[in-house]
Amino acid sequence: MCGMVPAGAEKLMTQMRRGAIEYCVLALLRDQDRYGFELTRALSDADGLVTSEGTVYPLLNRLRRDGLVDTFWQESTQGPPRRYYRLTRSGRLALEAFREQWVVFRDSVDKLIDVGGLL
Amino acid sequence: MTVTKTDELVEDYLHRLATALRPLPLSRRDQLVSEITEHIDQGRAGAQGQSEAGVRELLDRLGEPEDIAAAALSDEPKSRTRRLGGGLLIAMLVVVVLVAGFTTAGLFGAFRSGGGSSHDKIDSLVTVPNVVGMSTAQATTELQQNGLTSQVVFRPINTVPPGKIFSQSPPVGSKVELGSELRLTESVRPSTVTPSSGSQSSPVTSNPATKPPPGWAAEGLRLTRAEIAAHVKSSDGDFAYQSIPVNLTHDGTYTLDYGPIDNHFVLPAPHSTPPGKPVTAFSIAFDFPSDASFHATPDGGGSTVTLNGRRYYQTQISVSNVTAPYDDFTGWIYS
Repeated sequence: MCGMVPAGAEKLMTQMRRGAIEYCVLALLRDQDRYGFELTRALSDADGLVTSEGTVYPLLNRLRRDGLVDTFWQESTQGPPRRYYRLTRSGRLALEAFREQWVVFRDSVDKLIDVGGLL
Repeated sequence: MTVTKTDELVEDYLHRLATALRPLPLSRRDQLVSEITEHIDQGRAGAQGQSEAGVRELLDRLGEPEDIAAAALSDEPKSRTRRLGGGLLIAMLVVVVLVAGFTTAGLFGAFRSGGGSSHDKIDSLVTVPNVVGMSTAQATTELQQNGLTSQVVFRPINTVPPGKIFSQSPPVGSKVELGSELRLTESVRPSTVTPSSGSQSSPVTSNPATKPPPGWAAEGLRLTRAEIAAHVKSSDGDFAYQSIPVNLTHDGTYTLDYGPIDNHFVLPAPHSTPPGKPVTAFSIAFDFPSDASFHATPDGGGSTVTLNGRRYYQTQISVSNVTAPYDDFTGWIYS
């Protein structure tokens, strides 16, 4: 395929990425508490989600202010104590709500795009 | 030396970050600088931190400090964004961390409002509730309902059952900005806390696990009548903090020499302060299980002194009504 993406699609992807990323953060914390470096690495290792790991921290601060995430300190066997991030109850609920809507949205778009591709 | 070069890279990065974050309220800015500093420390503790190329990649992956600041500013409600570092803030703040009953609300409030210029809007303030004695889950919920967040540190405390909050900072009754973070100390069983200093026979200062990051090196706190048990971590930007276990058992006036402050660390110097007299806002917190009171002079901040060729931040503190030992000291230097 050609590598060209129309400017409009590029912009849309940027906006979608920006919107989805906070739920990706919540999702990463669903099954385990993570410390900053671990969390941002996991995000940036997920293809194309985060280009600058540092920008995850302002997002984490907002999630904390919104009561979706909180932090605690834990001693580490390697190096200084670590600040861990974990989901609050509201964070878990927000993630679940997003997941339900996302699956429906994703399936609808997939279905239409696949049909379009067949034409 | 490669180490020096990588230290410089990190220091330069954090300095750019602190500068770029200046428009943010102080509490947000401190929070971000701490988190990014922790990120770098965590990265450097791993294999990647061993070479200059590794540290460069670590910083590249973090992204431009200006981009991080832009992301933070775009999240900030307009009325809460304010210009900091303009020179108005030359106040010595004393925050005494106490169990319920004693309040430093006035001082804390003065500090919070001291950072803005005169045309700033007044931040929405909330009163800190008491969460001492609660379970951590209860405390977190209680704080959330009051629009506050928390960070929890764990310490073995014999007099408090494990899982319960032993102390909170700031104390009950303090007025803080909505969304502020409280520091809670949760009691744990002694065995669940892993000593971070390891068991090497060498001095703590030479243990890589507890080696302070570059830019700000503190080997200890000198109190003329206290003993220093050890030293721990720190972070920098144009902001630094240091937490040190102490054993302070008697009322009295102490000369506090905080440092040594590494020569690389640029002490913030508000422009209204005469050159050569780097008065800064310097906040001090004691974390201890008693109702003692604490005062630092001069209120406008201390000054730097040179002792044995090293820089220290010097101030006088008087402590009274000591009923139990102060065992933890934390100091911050803010611009």
